[in-house]
Amino acid sequence: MKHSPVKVFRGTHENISPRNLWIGLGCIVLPILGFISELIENVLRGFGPFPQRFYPQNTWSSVEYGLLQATFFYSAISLLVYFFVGGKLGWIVQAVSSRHAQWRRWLILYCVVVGILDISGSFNVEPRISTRIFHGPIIFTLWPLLLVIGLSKLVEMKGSRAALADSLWQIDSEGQENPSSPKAISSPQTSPAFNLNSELASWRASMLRCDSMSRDCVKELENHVIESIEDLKSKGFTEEASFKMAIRSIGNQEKLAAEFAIDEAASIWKKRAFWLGMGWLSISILPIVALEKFLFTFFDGAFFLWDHFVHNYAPDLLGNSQALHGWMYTSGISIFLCNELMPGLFIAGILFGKLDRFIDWISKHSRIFLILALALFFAEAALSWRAYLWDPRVTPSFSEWQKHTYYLHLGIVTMWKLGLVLLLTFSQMKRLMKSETPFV
Amino acid sequence: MISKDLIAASSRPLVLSILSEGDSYGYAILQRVRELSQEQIEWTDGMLYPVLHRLEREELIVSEWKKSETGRERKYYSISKQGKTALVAERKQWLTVHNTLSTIWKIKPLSI
Repeated sequence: MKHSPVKVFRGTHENISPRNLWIGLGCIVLPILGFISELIENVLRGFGPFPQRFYPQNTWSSVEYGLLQATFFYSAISLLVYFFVGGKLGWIVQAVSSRHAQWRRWLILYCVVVGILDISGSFNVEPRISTRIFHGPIIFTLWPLLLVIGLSKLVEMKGSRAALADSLWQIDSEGQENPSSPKAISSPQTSPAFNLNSELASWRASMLRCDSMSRDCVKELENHVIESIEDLKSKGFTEEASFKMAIRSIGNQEKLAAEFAIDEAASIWKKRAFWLGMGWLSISILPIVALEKFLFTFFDGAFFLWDHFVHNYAPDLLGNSQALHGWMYTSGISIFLCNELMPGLFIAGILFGKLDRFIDWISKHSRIFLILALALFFAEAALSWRAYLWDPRVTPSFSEWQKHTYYLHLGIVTMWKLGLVLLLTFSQMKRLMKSETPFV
Repeated sequence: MISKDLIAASSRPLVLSILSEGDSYGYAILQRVRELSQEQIEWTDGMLYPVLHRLEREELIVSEWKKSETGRERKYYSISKQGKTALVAERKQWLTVHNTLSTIWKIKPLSI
């Protein structure tokens, strides 16, 4: 059975707006790209025939260091896999929407706790605090979550304004009720339990949640429904029956949305790309604003690449036998891939309509992704643990308090990842026990 | 019962023909189709709108929000110059098909 990508992401929560859905996706794009580029870079460093000249101030091997960094990226990918398999990616977005204010409070609390722990851990163990913070969970979970919280608040405020505009639209300038308004339809036969206005409003809202439906489209369809209701009422049907018949004759919402989507594909993808880009930009811009490193971070990829080319690669090409070392000093490449090239390619992919296929492909191979995620987790955990045991940076000069904070920080991060993997596993078990077919 | 494929194929010339009679809006177009076909052609109401939007994108029709006599805002559609040309071409095609079938079924053909 084929599921549409949007359905897979939405899971059982149908009332997620397309905008929130794509912002949520955008927030996850960069961590995945970061994870991949970081891992490749560090594996090449560790296993390649190149001397360790990258972090001379510590004795960690490149592979282990890289994997530790990838831990944070991996946390993001775990989240993604979990929500893919559970079909509940939309849940995280919905959780911070206005309908679930209590979830928003919990997420803010979570952000604060993780932020404090991360910063305290960073102060203790990493001389280059900015680097540590940039690569920590702040970028990959905290800021995206804060952004979604902020945006959901904005959407809520916009919703309030729209409601106000709707109510104004129902009254014309002379204070008379506008006959085009749903409120203008009244019938003495209306049963007390049935409220035409609220039924129409909820129908309108559900139509607007289809991203192929513009406000103009929905307004036109709504007018059609109203005409149809009036027509049926004049034939002697009750208001409730007329409404039900009119809605039925306008047609199935999904089919209608699919029909509109045929012609609106370009504008739908433009809208999606825009919100996806907003999500992606958020995880780039918010840390920058927070750390007041606007220029550095925006151009760091290109800057590093250029710097290493001029100082390492170019002189090497001119006769130095260690030419490849320059090329392999890949901080710049990694950041360039992460910050500029890959997102650029990704957005280009969206514009050419390839993202759907990618999502379909992942959906089809969800079990492989699950196995891969579990394997990555255990491999990474084993290596990390080994690295923690002989971390040279936790020196005897550290105070007891500093050591405790450091280990608490590591413990929280590990528990968090373990929790995600357990959730992932349980969600699969629950599905199997219920004999539900995971999406294929 | 007319097949879905035939209904879909005929939607374009039907809408253009109805609009060639004068400006109209979605609900009225549907009512006119029902009336003309003596309720033989049954469209799902909502499906008319993608057709209208498609025709508008092809610049065969143009739309405008106007206040109706009841004061309600309606989106009125009217046929454009290109639409009239397209309708002539559509008419020719449909009559060709009609005449071909009429000849086989020994019914008097219509002039194109």
